[in-house]
Amino acid sequence: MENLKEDIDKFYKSIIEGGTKNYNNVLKLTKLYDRFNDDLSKINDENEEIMSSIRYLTHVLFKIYYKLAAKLQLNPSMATNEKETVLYKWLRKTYDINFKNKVLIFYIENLKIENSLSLDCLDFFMKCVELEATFFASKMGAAYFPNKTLQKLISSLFKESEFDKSYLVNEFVETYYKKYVDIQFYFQTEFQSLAELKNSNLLARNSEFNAGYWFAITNHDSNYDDKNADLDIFVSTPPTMMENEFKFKKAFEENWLFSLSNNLITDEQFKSILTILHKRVLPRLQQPTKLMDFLTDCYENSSDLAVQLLALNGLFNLMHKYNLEYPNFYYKLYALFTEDLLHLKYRSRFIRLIDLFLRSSHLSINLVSSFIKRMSRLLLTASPGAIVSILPLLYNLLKLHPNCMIMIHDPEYVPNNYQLFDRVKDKKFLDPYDENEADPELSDAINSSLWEIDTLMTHYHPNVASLAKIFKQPFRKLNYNLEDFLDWNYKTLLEHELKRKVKISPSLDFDVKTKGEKLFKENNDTDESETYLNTVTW
Amino acid sequence: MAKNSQLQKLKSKLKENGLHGVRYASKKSKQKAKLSSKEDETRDDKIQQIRDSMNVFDNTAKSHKKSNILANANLSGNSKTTEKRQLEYETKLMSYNVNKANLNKNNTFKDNRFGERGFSGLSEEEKTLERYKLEQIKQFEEQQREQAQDYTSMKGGRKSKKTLYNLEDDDGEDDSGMFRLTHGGQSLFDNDVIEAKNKRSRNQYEQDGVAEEADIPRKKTKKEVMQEIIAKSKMYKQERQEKQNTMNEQIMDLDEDFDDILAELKTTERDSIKQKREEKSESKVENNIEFNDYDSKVKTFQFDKRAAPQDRVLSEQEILDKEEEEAKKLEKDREMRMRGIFNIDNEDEERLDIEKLDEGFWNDESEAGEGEDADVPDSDDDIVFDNKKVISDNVEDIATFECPGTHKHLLTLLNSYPIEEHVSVLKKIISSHQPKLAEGNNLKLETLTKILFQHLQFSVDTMKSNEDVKILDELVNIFVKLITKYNTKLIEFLRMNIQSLQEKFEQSHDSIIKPSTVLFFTLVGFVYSTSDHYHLIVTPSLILINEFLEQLQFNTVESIKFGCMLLEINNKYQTLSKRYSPESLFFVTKSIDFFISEKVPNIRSVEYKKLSLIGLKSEKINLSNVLLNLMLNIKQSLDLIWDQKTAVTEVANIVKSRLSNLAIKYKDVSEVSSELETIIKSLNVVIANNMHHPLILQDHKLISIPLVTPKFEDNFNPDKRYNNDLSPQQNEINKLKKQIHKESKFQLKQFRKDSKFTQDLRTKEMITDKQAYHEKMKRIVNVINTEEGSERNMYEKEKKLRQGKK
Repeated sequence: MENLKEDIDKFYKSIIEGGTKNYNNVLKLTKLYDRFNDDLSKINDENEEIMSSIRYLTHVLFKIYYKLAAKLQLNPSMATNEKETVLYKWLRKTYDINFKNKVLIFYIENLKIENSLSLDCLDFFMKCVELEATFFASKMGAAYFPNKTLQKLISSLFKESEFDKSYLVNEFVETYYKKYVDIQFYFQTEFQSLAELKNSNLLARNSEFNAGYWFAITNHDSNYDDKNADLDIFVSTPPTMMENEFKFKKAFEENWLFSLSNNLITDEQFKSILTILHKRVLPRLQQPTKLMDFLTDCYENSSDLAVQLLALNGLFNLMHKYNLEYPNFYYKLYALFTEDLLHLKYRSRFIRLIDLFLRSSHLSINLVSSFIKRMSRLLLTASPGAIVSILPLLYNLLKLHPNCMIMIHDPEYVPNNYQLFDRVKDKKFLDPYDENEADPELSDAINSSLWEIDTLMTHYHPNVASLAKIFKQPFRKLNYNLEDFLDWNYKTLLEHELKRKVKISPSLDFDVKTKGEKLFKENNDTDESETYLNTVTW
Repeated sequence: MAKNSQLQKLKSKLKENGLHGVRYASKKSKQKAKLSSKEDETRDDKIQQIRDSMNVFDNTAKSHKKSNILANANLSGNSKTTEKRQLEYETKLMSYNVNKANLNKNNTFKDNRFGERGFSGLSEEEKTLERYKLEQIKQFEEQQREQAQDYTSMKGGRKSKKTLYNLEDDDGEDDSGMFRLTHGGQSLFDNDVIEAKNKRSRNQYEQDGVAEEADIPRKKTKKEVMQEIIAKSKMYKQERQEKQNTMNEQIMDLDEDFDDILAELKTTERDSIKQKREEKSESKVENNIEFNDYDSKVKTFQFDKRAAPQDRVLSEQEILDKEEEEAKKLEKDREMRMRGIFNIDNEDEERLDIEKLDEGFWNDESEAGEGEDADVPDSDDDIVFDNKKVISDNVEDIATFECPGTHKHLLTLLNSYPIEEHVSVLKKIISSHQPKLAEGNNLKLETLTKILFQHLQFSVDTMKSNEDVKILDELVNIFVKLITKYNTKLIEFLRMNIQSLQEKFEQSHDSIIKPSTVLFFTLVGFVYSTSDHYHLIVTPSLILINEFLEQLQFNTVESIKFGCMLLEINNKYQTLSKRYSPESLFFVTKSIDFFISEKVPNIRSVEYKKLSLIGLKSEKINLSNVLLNLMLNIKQSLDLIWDQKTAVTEVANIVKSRLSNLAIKYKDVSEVSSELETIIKSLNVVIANNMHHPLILQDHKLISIPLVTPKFEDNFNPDKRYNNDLSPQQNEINKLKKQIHKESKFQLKQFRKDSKFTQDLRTKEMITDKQAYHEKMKRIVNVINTEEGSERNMYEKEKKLRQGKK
């Protein structure tokens, strides 16, 4: 180890002090890596020795190249004579290939698990970008951004890979992407140009990680086109092209569409993308309606109700804010009302969205009544928490669409309406509602009645029952605030019950007729005595 | 010739009456005329008449319409404006003169002793009292006057209300002696005076001899009779009062002297005792014995049991009736609770409470637990077992048992006995700790109840299925006995149990699939009245049961078995109240789905067997058996609960579609398929029987809306003001306002009139003053002039004379 360090120092001195004739020592320095690269798995944070020596070596190399660059010896266009040109070209080549590609990119791409070395390499690489921007311009002080270098980094990150490099992406986003506006601009444009190269493998089209990386890069609020984002520039003199916002937006949109076309996006990733869609993506796109296909696919291909509903939420946003025409929206929403809907974890979120979707007073009566009927049908198997959140929603809907009141009150069947009632009282009423009809406009729910709610008036929980009874009372209340009812579940209900103060001693009942004499039956069937439970024995 | 002018009219009228133009020719006739005074009077009358007729505007006729007939009955219909004015003028003048006389005079004496405004040393209250008194006097005087009128006119019948009141007032006033009504300086109510007066009057009549009727005793008017009676009663009353007063005084005297008397008595008593003792020692022994005998006899009689009727022996029929009645009462109570009315004694209060139960339940979360106050049925009844004979001889003496304080303690205690004797040990513990035996036993038994509960759960979890389970039944019996007594004390304990179940369930869903959980719910259902609208223990238990039914993953035989048991318990809870539980339907669908799914292998038919509680986790049970039990429970819930609901068709459809799928899968297993068939059949029957009429939830009583169309007014008069929408109160207020306005206007007018009057007088005075001054000056000037003139004349004369001389 000490030897190595001494070697490195020796080479360094010789290169810096020895002048051009010792420049070949650079190659010797780069060769020093070989002894570590035999077994990449050894390079991890536990091997402190190896890590520190590699880091030292890299650091020294960067220092050398920096000194050279400062002497403008890495820029062939600055050469004054032929000899120099040859030398500079050679130096540039070693810099590009031996240092950047074989060391920095190599470590960024190939280390399997999270380690500090690749993070350092990322830092060095970005320093290289800065270095190139200052010294590689055609003239001193000319505006220049080394976009090809950045492209290399992008492809190294987004290349098809077996390892999860999200720590690198996060580091890149935190320290560079979120802070510097020029990095953002060139990142997006270079990403776009990479994506346009159809047959290259520089950018993976279908990858299980890329969507996550892309999500990490876009899920924040300090973007190029954000008005209140406080952004710096990374290089000292960026080109003026950078101010072309249209170009950025275009690239951003293209890149989004490219990322979303990834076939390997998981449901979880879909969910997280869909949740930020309306806030962080749609406003930045030039044509948000381009996302319609993506959302429709999301809805149709996913078996997860949550994804489907979130996709519908995105579509609703597009319809609501960007004038998207989407005639099948309510048809699709209606299809979501399956038996499992009210038993999901995200129930209250769903109900909030459903409330939002159905809030318009311009929906047709057939449609609204179908939703009401379907929801109340689902209540027959729902938990008290779901019941208490749906009932106020139904109340609000009935209040909003008074024509639907016929579903809870059919004047024809009031016994006081003698003539009308006499005509129908002996006839069996055939429920016209078609449960299996997929189109809410055609289900004919408006001619049905909400027996389900009437049944819930005898719910076992006294408070739920009395909440159901609001449909029996005059509809005097203007509206129910849904938020008050959304957060009930078994636990809170039980807590409430157990908190109740004891006012009356609990009543006992030992009626032999209804309860029998014993808890359970005997094992043998000959036992004829009345017992509490009939199908259970001790 | 038309007589147009006023003067001509007057002249003609005078002529008509012979007052004009007739001159007495001679002095003689004049004298004659003077003599005939009668004629003179008529003449004056005539002149007055003519004057009146000529001066039409002087008379004001009162409108009879407005004025109160009664009030004006005795007044003449007309009054003269001039006279009135004259009167007014005079009073005003008088007051003006008085004021003027007092003006700018500091040394005048103002008597402020009289009148309200003056210094009278009366408080406001006293003033009003005084006013009231005066008013009363005035009224009384008026009444007297009326009486006098009645008396003369012998009308009698009319009797105003005031007289009625006065009867009473007389009493009070007379008693207080504030004032007395007098007539000619003598009291009106003094009997003697009245009599004397009567006598006098009679004498007068007799003496006069004018009226013969005076001889006949005059019939007293009702009023007089009444007054006499009153006067008499008053006299008696006074007498009585005097007597009372004297008596009181005497009593007071006695009271004062009582201490002295007492002191004296005491000394005498002591003396007498001494004397007695002396006597006793002397007296014979027999006497003493007799005395003691009497005492003891009294005592024995006191304690003698008196003959009392025993409770009648009831016939069998009567006993049955009584039982039935009791059962009916219990049933009625239960029904009340089911409808949410807790306590029949203070029904209203509780009814309010049940309504409050919902208020703010969904929005308001802060419901701080206040002091717990339950009406504790604190009886010191013993816990009596029917079969006391069971206590076997093997068990040691009662005294050796201690009441265990923890479950561990109980276990160590029971360990030393064979399992068959556990029950008798427990019974012994209880009987040796009857509450009446020692203080603190109540508390010990209370903890024992809890321990027993824990023990039941413990043993049901640990027991092997082949062991004797009869003991558990016995334990349950003991527990039930205990819980009836310590019902209220156990609330917190059971709540804790529910809480811990919930916590365990949160940690791991499968951890609560235990026999003890089922036993807990069964016991709650067995002991408590599960049909109550709200129950401290049952409602939380129901929430738990349903939570388990909804949130458990029913994908193992074990969990399905557990669910089946919970489903039956749930059904049992609702046997009477028929409340709907969505979760049980959910469980039914999920479990049928489980049986339909591929996971369940096709099963062979087996003999039906009940589910075993103890074997819930361990016993390998045939799946078809579970399915059969599930079927039974579905049928039970259909019969018990779903059948009653309006949405039974919907429920049945949800179940039916799945069951028919199941039937296809199990068509080879004869028992299952036949069971399925019966259920599907009964579902079909239910669907067919349900009329399924649409709901009429909003069939409320119609409420009338206030009419807003304007009222049509016949003979509408644009000048008249119609304010139909004013309330009567508003109307009244408006009337009063108008009156105030009118009166204030009138007052202003009065003030102006007054000030104008004084102004006029003042100017008049000024004018007279000035005139007097000018006259005076004139006179002086005249005097001077005359003096000077004469002097001048004299001078002139002298001058002339002197000139003449010259």
